[in-house]
Amino acid sequence: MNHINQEQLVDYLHRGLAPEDDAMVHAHLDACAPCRLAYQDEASLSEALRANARNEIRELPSGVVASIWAAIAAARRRESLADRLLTWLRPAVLVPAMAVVVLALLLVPRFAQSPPSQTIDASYYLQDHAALGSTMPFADSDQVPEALENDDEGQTSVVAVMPAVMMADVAP
Amino acid sequence: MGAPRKPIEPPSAEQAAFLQRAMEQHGQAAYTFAYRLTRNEADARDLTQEAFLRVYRAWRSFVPGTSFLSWIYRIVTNLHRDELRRRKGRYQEEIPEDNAPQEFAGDRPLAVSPIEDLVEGQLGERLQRALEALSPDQRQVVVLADIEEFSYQEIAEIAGCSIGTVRSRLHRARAQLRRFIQKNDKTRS
Repeated sequence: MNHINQEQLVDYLHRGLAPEDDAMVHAHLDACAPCRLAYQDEASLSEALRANARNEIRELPSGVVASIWAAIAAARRRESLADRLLTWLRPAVLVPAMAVVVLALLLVPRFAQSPPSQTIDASYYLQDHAALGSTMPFADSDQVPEALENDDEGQTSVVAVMPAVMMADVAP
Repeated sequence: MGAPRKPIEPPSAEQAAFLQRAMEQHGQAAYTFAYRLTRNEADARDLTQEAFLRVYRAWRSFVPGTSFLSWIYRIVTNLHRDELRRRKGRYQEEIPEDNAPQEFAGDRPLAVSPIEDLVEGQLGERLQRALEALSPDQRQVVVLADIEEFSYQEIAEIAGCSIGTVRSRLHRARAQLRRFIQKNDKTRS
């Protein structure tokens, strides 16, 4: 009759065999002294491991407990800070805020970059001429305002024609 | 460690009470188990701390009526495996997953050095050194099978492997323990 192999003995010891194998090993151990001795040696190893383990029982150090609570408190603090930041990033706040920012970006350069006008409005010359004409009707017949000399052609002609018209009105 | 963290929930008296109760009732077992796996107190402290933080984060996933001890052993086991992976860069199974039983026929020789013949003090010292010499996976299965007396099925669930792997690791671990003890016995005598 074959003996029980070491693995089967270990499995039998740990109640890890299928019922029929367990029954077979049980019957064999009853009848076979060498296998019984081998089984007892396996059982002794397990018992020695348990006896050794009993000396290794350790209380959870109080420092570990304190560290656990401290880690939880620290994580909560970090999380509450993150929550506050997230409150400001929720869509109800974020969308209008972004709209304001975008609008500002679009509008501010337009105002900031519009240069002061270098041209002089034509009505200035008309008013100026009218004022001059009302005091010295004939003084400006051949006068062209200085600023007008550098101006474009159309504006010059408007101002230049006016004295002639006025002269025609006052001509005898 | 490793996996994406569940955020810590807003303060809840129930959650804090759960953790408090877990540490009071199972702190010793969890810390002792962590020590048996790591064989040193500094690592056992770190492991236990991280394990209870996971218990706190995942407290709602604990199913009342199931074994809390199995749950926390599983957490400790996973954290230990992750830590070993980090330290080694990659963590490899140190033994093949070959579970083919060895045929044993003929006369069984009497044990050369029966464990029970050793003086208790001597054996304890040798066992500790032998346990330290095991691979982490082998040590874990010896602790769970022989010390904690879990079934193969329970060990497979805790370790996250098959029953065949549990068997294979246990057989090899015990063979190695036996060889280590007997080798030391011969060198002394």
